Amino acid sequence: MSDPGQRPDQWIDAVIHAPARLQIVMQLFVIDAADATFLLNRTGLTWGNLSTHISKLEEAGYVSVEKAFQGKKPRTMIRLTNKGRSAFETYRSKMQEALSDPGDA
Amino acid sequence: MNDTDLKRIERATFRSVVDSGLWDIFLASIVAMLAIAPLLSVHLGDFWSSAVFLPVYAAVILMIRVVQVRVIRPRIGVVEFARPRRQRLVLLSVIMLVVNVVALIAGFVAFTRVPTVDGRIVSLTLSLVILVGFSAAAFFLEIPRVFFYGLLLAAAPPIGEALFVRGYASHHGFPVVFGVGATVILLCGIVRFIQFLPRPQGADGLPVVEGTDE
Repeated sequence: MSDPGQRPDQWIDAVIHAPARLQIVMQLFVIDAADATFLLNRTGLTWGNLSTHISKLEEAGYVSVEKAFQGKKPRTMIRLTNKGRSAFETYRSKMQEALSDPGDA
Repeated sequence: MNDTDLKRIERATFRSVVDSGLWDIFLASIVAMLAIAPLLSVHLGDFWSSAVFLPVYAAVILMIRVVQVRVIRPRIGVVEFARPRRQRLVLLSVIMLVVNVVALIAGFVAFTRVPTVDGRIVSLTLSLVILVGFSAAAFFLEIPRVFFYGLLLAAAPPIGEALFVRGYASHHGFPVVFGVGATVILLCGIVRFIQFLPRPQGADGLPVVEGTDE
């Protein structure tokens, strides 16, 4: 719950709130895992941007990056961690609460 | 950003992987068999007129597999779906199995009792089975086009039977009605496949999000 006395920047999760990272997290939230090519297609980000934002999410512990081989080809699968899933759910509920219609109060 | 939006994203994600048009092409090959087999049965008999299509199916499945691995996967990427989606697919598989067993039994009864069963009853039973199967597939895959295919193919046996009774078509009208159905489904599949493949990253019109933050 966001405290009515707090400014948004005090309770918004800045790691998730950035538009590009929000796209990535929303996409990963509805699936189990995806590779970088898939995220690239779904988000419209460039390779460089995607890599940067995945790194930031990984540093925060919100995503895990698993490198594996499928046959001879390397494949990097990215998935939302439990911490990331829970952070996104918290972010969602706080945003819904903060942006709810004043008439609902 | 409510649940509906996330459901929309999940649905779009699923379709972005599954709805490639390749399975439409496979379906068209099966429907084409229903159109061609009655014509071949005159020379090859009932069994061989159907069995001769097995290598064709194998070739089509092999082609789909090669296109998936060599063309689609490098462009679309790989995704593992969440449990609810996987459960829906398992449920669909079970329903399709039941529908196919019912169709097999209905077909067996129709073939073994042909002289005593009215052709209209056989065609209506076939229509019902087709409609149930395709409706289930359209619902669980969330691809409305599949329901249209169901209507198209369910309408085929009664229309074929009507053409046959009036003397406009041979073989209960199957070559005509299922030939038209196979052609429509094949064209839809080819158009869908062309639309499906993404354009090169950053090419005309494809949004490139710069992703600036802070």
